[in-house]
Amino acid sequence: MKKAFKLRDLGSLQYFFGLEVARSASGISVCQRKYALDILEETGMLACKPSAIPMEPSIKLVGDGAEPVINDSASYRRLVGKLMYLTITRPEITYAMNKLCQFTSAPKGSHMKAILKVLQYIKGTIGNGLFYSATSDFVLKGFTDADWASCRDSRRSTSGYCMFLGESMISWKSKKQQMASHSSAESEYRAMQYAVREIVC
Amino acid sequence: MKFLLQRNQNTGLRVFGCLCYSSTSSKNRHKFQPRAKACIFLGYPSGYKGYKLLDLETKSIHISRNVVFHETRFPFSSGDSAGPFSDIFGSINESLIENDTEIVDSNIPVVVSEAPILSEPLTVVNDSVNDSHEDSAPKSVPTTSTSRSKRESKQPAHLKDYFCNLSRKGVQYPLSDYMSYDQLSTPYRAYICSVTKFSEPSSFFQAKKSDDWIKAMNAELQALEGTATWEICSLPSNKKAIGCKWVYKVKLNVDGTLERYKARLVAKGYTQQEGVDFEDTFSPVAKMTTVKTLLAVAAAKKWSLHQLDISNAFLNRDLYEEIYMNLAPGYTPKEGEEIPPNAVCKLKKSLYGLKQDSRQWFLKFRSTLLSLGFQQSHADHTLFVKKQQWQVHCCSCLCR
Repeated sequence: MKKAFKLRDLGSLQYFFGLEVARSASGISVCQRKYALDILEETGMLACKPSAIPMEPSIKLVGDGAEPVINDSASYRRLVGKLMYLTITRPEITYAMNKLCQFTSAPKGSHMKAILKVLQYIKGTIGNGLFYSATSDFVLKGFTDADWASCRDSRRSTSGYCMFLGESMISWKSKKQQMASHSSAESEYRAMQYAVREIVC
Repeated sequence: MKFLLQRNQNTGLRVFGCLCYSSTSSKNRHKFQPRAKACIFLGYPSGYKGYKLLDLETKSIHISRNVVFHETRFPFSSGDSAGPFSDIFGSINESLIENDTEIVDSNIPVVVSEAPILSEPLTVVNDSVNDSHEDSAPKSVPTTSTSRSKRESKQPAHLKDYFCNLSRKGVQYPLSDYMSYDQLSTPYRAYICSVTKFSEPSSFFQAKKSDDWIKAMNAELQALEGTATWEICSLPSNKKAIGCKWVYKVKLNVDGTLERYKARLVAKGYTQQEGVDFEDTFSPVAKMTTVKTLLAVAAAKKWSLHQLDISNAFLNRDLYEEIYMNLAPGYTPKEGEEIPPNAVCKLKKSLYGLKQDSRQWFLKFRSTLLSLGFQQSHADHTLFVKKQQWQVHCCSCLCR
């Protein structure tokens, strides 16, 4: 390869595209600590109170309600985009981001409040990331789950899956299903279908 | 007398019989009334902290603490009891009725601007006046008049060595009122100053006036010719040439000093027509799942991970389409060469700005890796694997 291109060897893998890679004898850890800090700094949330959860479990976010649309919807969209990139190493905020990114066209005050809660959670868990163990085997395991009619606006269900290669989590997703399901069993089936599609393709 | 003159700046001692201005009470004063009255310093009253003064106008004696002294001027020294100053006041009173803008021309506004800081020693007064001049340049303070002074405002003498773009002439809301570097720390201010010192031209016509930029453009042209990026020919009749332009950038070191002038020739990709100048523009990028799987396997198998950066990635690839580009502005042929009529560059290699350059880059990357014995993965086309006897090489194209 050196002959074909003018190369610059950056040494062992440490930092690329905002992902910090650290290696020890027990495995590899990947986190986006600097990226998360940059988000907090940009939004002025560095001094915020940390939260233990990324989203209130009982919260019901709706797209069409009487609440007025916030003036600065561009900043909401920008924040959603930045936090979506953070989900590369943060499976735990994937669900919250999936919920919040459905309101980018007309964000309301409650959505902004919810996204600030995600930022508070990130502040409390700034160094969290993925860990790939050195003692892991290569058995592929997949888990799926779905709820039923969780979207208040369209009555569609949200499904999620995560894939493990041995002990290492390699793929995950949270997604609003494309069709409304008649029963929870149907929505679970759909969730399974998404997961199998990810494994096969 | 001399002794007193030297001492008076620190103590309360003043020169007897000198001219001074005592500020009037603001209680029953309306805005057209004088803020200060001309007086003569008489002495120190016992039992009071203040100065005993003789009012030149009303000839009455009073005690005041807010006084500005002019210790080199003595109204009674010439024997004229009224002094020249009563005339000034008289003329002001008349001019008030006629035209109130003339007030600015008299001595009064000077006294007005100093009045709030009268209780401080004289040296401090002078300093603070200078400071305020430096901060906000030639600021005319027509506090007593409703309209602006007709007098042309001159720049202070102490600013004559500096370039001030704070000129307020004809500018209703000058930028200097709203933006300043005052809040910044000194090293940061120095950095900002040096950043703004080097201006980047936005067009070739601006840049060709400066030798530095011409040098930078020559270097870029030589580099492009060195890699045989184009050949000069005349434009075929059925083809259209795309434009190109120069992009100029000043590269600075970390401490804000100049590193180099950089000029880059970019093609105007937005003038390319689909189906004529380019067909496909898609170029795959590594999926994050692939990266994570690679990391997980590398951790378990204890592989070593390396990161490589390919410099000038976007200039390395060959072009398949026939693209003609206008000659770069400022391009001159070497001696002995002649430019054909209707001359254009036929691009052989990709330039920055072309629509298909990320795709060309991936194709080149792929063909190079395949020729080195790598195999492309079917699940993710950006993953290349090469198995040797003892080792496995995996390569993933991460950027485009």
